[in-house]
Amino acid sequence: MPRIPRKPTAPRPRGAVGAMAASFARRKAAREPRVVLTDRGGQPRTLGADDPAAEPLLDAAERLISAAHRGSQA
Amino acid sequence: MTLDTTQMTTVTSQAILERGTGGYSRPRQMSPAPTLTPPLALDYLRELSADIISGVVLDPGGALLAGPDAFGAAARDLLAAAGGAEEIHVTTPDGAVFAARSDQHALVVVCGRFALPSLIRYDLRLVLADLAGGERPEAA
Repeated sequence: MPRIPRKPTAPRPRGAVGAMAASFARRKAAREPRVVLTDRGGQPRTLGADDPAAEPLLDAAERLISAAHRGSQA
Repeated sequence: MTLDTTQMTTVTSQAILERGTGGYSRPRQMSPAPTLTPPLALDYLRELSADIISGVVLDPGGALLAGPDAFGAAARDLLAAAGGAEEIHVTTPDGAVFAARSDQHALVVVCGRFALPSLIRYDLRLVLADLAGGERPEAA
């Protein structure tokens, strides 16, 4: 049976460099704003930070967080 | 049952009655289980999770029932922006905000960035059920 040639992919770092790159990528992903809304049926819906519906939620959340940090420092 | 045993039981129960200790033969008063008050609910939430920094309890109309006044407006805006969603989870680089609401109350809490969402959401549902005096939710 003839072998199908492999589709070329972009080279990915391996070894210690690859582990560090993956670690940075995970940290970056963890710091990105995220909004999850769950309806009455328990169905979650994730909104990206660039979603217009997420903007007022992120704004309100940032106000709450800054008020909480002010309160905890006082 | 022998006559001796019957006599012994009667004597014991009479002695309990005469001492005025109440006991097993008197009907106990049935009182409803005490429901959680909004300020106690916030204290309870902070005891349940060390990740919760602060929070508020609102009524369905958005009136502040417990928690700092400074949180009221932002918490109302958050709930209004979420439409009909029952649970809200917003993560930012500085922290996370979780909210849950029932027909009677809404809870909004601010947590550190590393709070575990499933645990916080379960705690919120638990306290909402206690506030309403209803049955506690089962663990997911």
